[in-house]
Amino acid sequence: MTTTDAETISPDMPETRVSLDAFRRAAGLDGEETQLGRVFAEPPGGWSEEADVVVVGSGAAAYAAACAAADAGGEVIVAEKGAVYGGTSIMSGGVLHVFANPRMRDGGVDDPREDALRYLARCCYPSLYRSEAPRFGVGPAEFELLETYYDRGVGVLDSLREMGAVDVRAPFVGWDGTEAPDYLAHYPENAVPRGRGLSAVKEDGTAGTGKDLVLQMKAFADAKGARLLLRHRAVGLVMAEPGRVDGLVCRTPEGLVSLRARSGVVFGTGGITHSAQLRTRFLRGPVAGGAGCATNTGDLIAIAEAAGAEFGLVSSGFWNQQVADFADDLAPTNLNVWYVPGDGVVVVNRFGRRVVNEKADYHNRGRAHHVWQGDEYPNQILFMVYDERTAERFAGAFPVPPTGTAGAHVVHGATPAELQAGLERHLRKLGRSPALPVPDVKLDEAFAAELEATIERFNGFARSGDDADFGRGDHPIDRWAHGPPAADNDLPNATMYPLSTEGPYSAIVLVGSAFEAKAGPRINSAAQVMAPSGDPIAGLYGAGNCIAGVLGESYTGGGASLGPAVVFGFIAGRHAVEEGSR
Amino acid sequence: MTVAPVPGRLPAARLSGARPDGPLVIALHGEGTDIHDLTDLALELVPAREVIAPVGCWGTYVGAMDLSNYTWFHEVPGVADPEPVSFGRSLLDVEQLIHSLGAAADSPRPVLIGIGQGATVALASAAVVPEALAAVVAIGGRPVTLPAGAISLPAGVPVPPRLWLAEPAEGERAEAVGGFGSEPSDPSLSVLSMPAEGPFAASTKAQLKEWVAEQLA
Repeated sequence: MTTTDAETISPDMPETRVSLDAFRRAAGLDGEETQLGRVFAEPPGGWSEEADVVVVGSGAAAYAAACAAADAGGEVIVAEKGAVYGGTSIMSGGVLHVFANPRMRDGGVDDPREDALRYLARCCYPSLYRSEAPRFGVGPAEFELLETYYDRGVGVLDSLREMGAVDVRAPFVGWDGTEAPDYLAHYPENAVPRGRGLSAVKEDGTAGTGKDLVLQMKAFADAKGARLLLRHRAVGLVMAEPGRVDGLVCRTPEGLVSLRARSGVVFGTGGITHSAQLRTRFLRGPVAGGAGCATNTGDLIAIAEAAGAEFGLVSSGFWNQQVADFADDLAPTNLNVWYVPGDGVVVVNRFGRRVVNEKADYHNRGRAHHVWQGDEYPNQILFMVYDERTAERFAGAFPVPPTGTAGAHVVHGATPAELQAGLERHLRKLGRSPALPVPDVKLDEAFAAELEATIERFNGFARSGDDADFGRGDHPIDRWAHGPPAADNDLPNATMYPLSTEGPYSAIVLVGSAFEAKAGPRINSAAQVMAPSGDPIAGLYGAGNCIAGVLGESYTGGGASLGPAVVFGFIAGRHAVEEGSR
Repeated sequence: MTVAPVPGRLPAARLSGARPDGPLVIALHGEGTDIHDLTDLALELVPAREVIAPVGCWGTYVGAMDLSNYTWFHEVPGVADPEPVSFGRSLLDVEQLIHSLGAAADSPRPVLIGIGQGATVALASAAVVPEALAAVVAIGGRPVTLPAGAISLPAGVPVPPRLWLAEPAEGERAEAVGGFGSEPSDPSLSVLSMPAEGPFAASTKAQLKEWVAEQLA
């Protein structure tokens, strides 16, 4: 199969008749940020509705809060900014990473507290970690959240099951029938490298996705009378006196609406990654968009600032990679390059050199883009290079186009030199698109020659099975996520196969992304948003990706985003009803 | 085999049809599938020069699990209309594809055919580029409410953006024929929308073929 370079046949696109702005407005992204983040002494227009708990957002964190509050007898309103509910969670794989979880307990698997906390400290705060120090070197407030996550996780999942909301006990099983290893299964501190990832159990007993997780919790909350209000974008809080939240102010198509919260307002509104402005403000290094739902533009940031919250970890995220051509924040799915498919594939930088284990999990692979060296981010733009055999054997595994199709995001070259020329044209084309985050990056003059040397060196690793540079395939998650070995690959390490030295080659441009960020206000172990005084702001709670990540800079394993979202969302909803501000 | 990318950014297959003088067919697959959802049926229904079958957005987060899971827009149970941002993006991608192909082709206008989510995008696309299409066949899709200001037709495109769909009669097999135009009886672009799902009976296929042939005549 041969392919033609897109640019040779593709004329300039005609002017569009479709207004993406109109669709963005309909999705709750109206672009007028001036009213965001206000604190009102009185509810504008008076209270239009009231409940014990007003939950903001409608993903897993929000609905865990709604379930917990409703189950405790609270009256609940769920205010969602978008035109649909479910947030990022409903599009996701729906896995929760929970320590010493109900499935482990039922199966007699021990996940000891001390070991788990050591592992968490090592992953979440690697620059602080000291094995012999109190709290393993982690600060008291941060460590308390790690302890809370360990201590409360099992109880939260048991409660959700016992109340009839959702049974999160299905194992996260891969192609080989084994449970997913933690992303850091190879750390010596990890005493129990498999079994912490769980999914919602569907009616037929099989493992569900994020859709099942959200729909089951929503069905429970609905049955308890929770009222879902779509197209209600949180823009402010009502605080009659400082330090205490009385309700939420939303902008709706019909104007401002004030929702009184007798016990508390719980934010589960997702992250900031679809706001270019907030990405620049908070995220360190080059970060081009995310895989969260389109409405994740960090509305809590301005609101928490106005309410006097203290911000916690703000520079971290769940890192990932994205195809530059698709990095426009508009995807209908959690589109990111979660795993680099293929065995005859390398990922190189603008110098034609490998910089990362291509089979590493997305979080650790995505961090390669952030490296600063000399005068630049040498890995800001990376190039996934593969040959024809890999294109055919791994067809359809994004970003490799499906069998029989060609994608304009793929650059082709019969030789490394032709590939270099094609990539240079493609980078210029991407750089002209205002919607895409591709800065001025040029390939080094020696790119093609270096790429040839890189392929030769990699091919040696593939034949021996030992990637002496980056340890590709050495970690359990590398092999688990890679999938079954290609039928013709009987080499010792199934994640590697020699690339053709003759060509032709294909290449895809990758940018660093965050599938979501962890930037936001700090919470305490009751999921209350904290003020700099050290006191919580009464009646204001947060969970999930809208608050400072409780798991530091780590990605402990599949479900490390949804796990804390559900656990702390639940804690928030329960606390608001049982010990709320009124 | 040579596979050339189509204009725009959607990966697509190009399949030769049996009729060198026939129209292009653009085939939009259903949710959670890929081009193979519709290409055989498209080739069967339309005397085509070529079938262009793009894929939407990949929808699986772990590479090894599902290689044919593509989707056009996000939607949730109980909410009638699609999530707007993702729907707008696909509408724009398909518009760009139709316009670019139409402009380059010295041949009959393309026929747009869709199934499931692809049919829903096809119905909305009919409102975006009505003059660029010969006909629209929508199988198992639904008309959606587009946001205010979502589409602006240039002057000289004399087609009111209104879709007429006949309601299926009580107790009959649901099948509706309609179009865009000032009156249901005088559509300037013909749209056939049927709620049925495959596999299709030979008689249904025969009806569809006949309808397409009428539009192309």
